[in-house]
Amino acid sequence: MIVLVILGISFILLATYTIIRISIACVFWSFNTSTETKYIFKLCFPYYIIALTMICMAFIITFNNSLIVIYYFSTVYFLALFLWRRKIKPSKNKKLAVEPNQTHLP
Amino acid sequence: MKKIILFIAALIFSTLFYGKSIGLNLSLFSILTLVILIINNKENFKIKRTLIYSAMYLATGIAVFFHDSTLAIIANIVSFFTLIGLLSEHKASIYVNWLNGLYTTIAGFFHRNYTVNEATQTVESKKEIDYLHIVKIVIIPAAIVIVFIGLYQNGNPIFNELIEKIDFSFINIQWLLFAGLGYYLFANIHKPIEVEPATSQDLKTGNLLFKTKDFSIPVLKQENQLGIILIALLNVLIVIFLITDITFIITNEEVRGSVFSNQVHSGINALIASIVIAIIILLYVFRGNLNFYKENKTVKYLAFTWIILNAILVLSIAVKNSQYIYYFGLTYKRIGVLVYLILTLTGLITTLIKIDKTKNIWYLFRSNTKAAFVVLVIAAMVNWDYHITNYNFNYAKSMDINYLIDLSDNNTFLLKKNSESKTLNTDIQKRIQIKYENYCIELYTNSWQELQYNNFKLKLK
Repeated sequence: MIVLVILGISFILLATYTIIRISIACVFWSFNTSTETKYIFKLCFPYYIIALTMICMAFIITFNNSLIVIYYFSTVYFLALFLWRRKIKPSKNKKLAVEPNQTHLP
Repeated sequence: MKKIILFIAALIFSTLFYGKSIGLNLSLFSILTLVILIINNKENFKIKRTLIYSAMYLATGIAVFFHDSTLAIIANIVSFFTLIGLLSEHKASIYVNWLNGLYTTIAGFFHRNYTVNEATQTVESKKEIDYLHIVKIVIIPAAIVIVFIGLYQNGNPIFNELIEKIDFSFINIQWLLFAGLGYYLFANIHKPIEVEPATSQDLKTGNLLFKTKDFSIPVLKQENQLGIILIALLNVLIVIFLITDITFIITNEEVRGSVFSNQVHSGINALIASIVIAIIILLYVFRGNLNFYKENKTVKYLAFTWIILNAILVLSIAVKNSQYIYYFGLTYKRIGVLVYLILTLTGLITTLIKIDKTKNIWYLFRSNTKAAFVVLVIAAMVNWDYHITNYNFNYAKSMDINYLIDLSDNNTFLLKKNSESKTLNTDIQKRIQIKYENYCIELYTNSWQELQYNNFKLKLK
């Protein structure tokens, strides 16, 4: 039984992660690949997060402020913020695919 | 220092709202929010506009304490967003203030920490926080200490007794989480931010119309002719309508509910259509270069006449509505009609100014949304349930007592007073008594956070 519950929770969390990840990716896909991340963030993030918060609050109100629903949608909200942060702040280990011109080399 | 203030505010937030319904807590929260904002935005609070909006916010907060109405709560929330938005950019339009206020409340902290630096064109985090290190220094020592406590407990009975005496049951995790939410909220709002490019675009957009390059006299002459014919015909039509309407008001001595109801409702529908179409037509006619055409005086005067006639139409509907109220009592819908008429009149006046002073459509949006906000705040100041009950008992020719009983608890004491002094049937008196008793129980069981003005009234009785 516990295993089933854990599996269920993991599935829900994975599905939530995937949906949010895809929604953020859709925002970036709607722009040209050359468009800078910071520009997309500036232009789209406010409306994205306002819309997401409204949806979360609508669900919370619909489910009569049930505690489990509040926890779930709070997770959704913070997960979205975390994923946006990852998107706009590339990791330090990331290497550039194209090396810059090194004119001093023969 | 700022973090300590935010931390204290978060604790107060949780104390005020955790597991409580709305009452005194929202008024205190309004004061707390203002204190936090003043501490962090001192310069902004020297501006007159900020002070006016702060006063509005505070007034709606106090209104919630005096009459715990939904309208007052909505007005308080809207003025909260307006004030926050105003602090982010005080020159922006009110609807941009709402957007900025909403965004700041939802994600201000995140935006400030991962903002785009315009100078270096890089996305930068203000402070590099090593979360892994924080987890390490908290979890690892805690886990090891717990293991050792377990070991020592078995080794020494006095130590075991001491450990068993420790009781953490007073810690309420949900209360702490709620305080966390409070901290996040105050961290978001203490330094308001802007939504770009909406704010800069709004600042760039002025209120005035300018002559465009395609200024052509023959085209404008045709437009002018079309405008004159169209608005003149509409003027004739509205004059005929008004004559018949006023004749009806003066001559109709027989008062029947259905007649008045039909007149008011169909009148309102006609008014909605006529005002909206009137404004659209005027906006179309005066959309561009016709404003700068030298021979546009006739069309302008016709437009002014039409606006004034529409204003008379508004007044005629107001008269019918007030007669309806006098004969059949005050209700929320009838008050709603009056509010709509006030907004319509404002819309007409701003349209008149737009044509006279050659303003653009943004001027209309800005002034009318501001007017709607002011009407909302003023409407929130009034205890409508009390006034509806008072008017219907003392001034209206007839009324629906069941409607009054179904209103919120704000009219309970007045209903009780009237049921004692006036002759009402026993069934109605019984219903009023039940409402009164339930409300008294609710007031007696209120915690200090949920206190209302009626609590003090009850104590005096």
